Amino acid sequence: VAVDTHAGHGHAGHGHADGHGILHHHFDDMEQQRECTSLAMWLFLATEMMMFGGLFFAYSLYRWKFAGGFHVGSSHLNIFWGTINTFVLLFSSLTMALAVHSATHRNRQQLVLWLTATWILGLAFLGIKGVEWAIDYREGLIPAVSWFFYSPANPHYHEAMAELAKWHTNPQQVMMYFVVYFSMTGLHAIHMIVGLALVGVFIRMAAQGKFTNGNDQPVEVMGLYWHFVDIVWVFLFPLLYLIAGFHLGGGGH
Amino acid sequence: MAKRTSQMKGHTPAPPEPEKRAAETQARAPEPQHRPAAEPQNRAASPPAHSQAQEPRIQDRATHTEVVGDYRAAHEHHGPTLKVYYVIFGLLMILLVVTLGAAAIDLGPLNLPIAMTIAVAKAVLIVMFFMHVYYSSHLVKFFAGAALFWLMIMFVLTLSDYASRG
Repeated sequence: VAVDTHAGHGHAGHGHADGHGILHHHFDDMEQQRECTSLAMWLFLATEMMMFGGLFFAYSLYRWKFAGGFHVGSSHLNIFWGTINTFVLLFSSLTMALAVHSATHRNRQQLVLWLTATWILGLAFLGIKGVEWAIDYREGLIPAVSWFFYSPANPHYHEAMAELAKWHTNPQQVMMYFVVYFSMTGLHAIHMIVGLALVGVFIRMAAQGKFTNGNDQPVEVMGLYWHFVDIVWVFLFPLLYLIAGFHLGGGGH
Repeated sequence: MAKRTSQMKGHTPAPPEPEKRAAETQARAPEPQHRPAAEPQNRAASPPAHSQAQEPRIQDRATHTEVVGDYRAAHEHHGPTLKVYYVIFGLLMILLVVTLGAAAIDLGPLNLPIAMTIAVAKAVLIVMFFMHVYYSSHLVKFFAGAALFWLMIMFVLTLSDYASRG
């Protein structure tokens, strides 16, 4: 069995000779090194899960306590842009997975291509998020920065208050929804910015051929980070945007 | 899977001293040729009766390095084929549409558990295939699961406290 696989994997991506060239001296072999770097990254991601977990817990508690406020708060978000952004981020996970695949198979051209695609998609996500936040700013839905939606300064003040009464809630509860919303999407956006910076540096290094000489582990590890940030959004999207549901053709505003 | 486990076990315990030294010299030595070409050196240390073609597994257990070599050969391309990536992406897109569809229907208290189930399904697909956990060792799987376990402790214990206080 073993001999057959040796013979079958004799092509690029396997070689021991150049593989040993990037084996750090404190590891016995490439497999151990690979396992170690993956484990370390997963340990880091575990601490990341703890950090986001605290926010998800705060969300759970306040959604339970302030059900009406969270319903009304969520209805202010734009489901269309939230859906587009979910698509963009899931798509960027695919391109990142393809980048890792290209690095493992030592295809420099494709690695640069897929990393660049990932970078553009990540930037598109942040751009859309920025537009959403700008709309929130204009509508007066950012606590402590621009909060006047539930004051007479809002031309639709009476409708806004009537909506609150309908859901047995008050401006303070909606404000708590937006505090949680900006904390979670803000921390997520910070992670996206870090990811974009990393991918940017990696594009440059990939173009120099630094990851297609058998040294594909940095790309693999950075991919783990990128996918993690994607997964956080996979949970944020339904929790933040879809509380109030939506009517087909209407969309949320 | 069982095959890999047995190999992992063979890999874990420290080999007896002479073997280890042999393993190290082989690992450090420059090795321009393909692995099978280098094997005759080691075969000298093992019973000569075994031919490589007939009983490769016994041959592989001869030294630490060869077990690792076998493990490496079988799993160095750990990771799915391109087709798997595209299929997973297709499934993620379907799940995104299902999430929206489920949110468009008012199911009362059922909307949240349905949305969360779909989100978990998406996350599992990404973790298992995009993040290669499905193809990784038990230790990596354990690390990935451990964080989830601690999160569950926080959610279950703390929320049950809030819930029971009324």
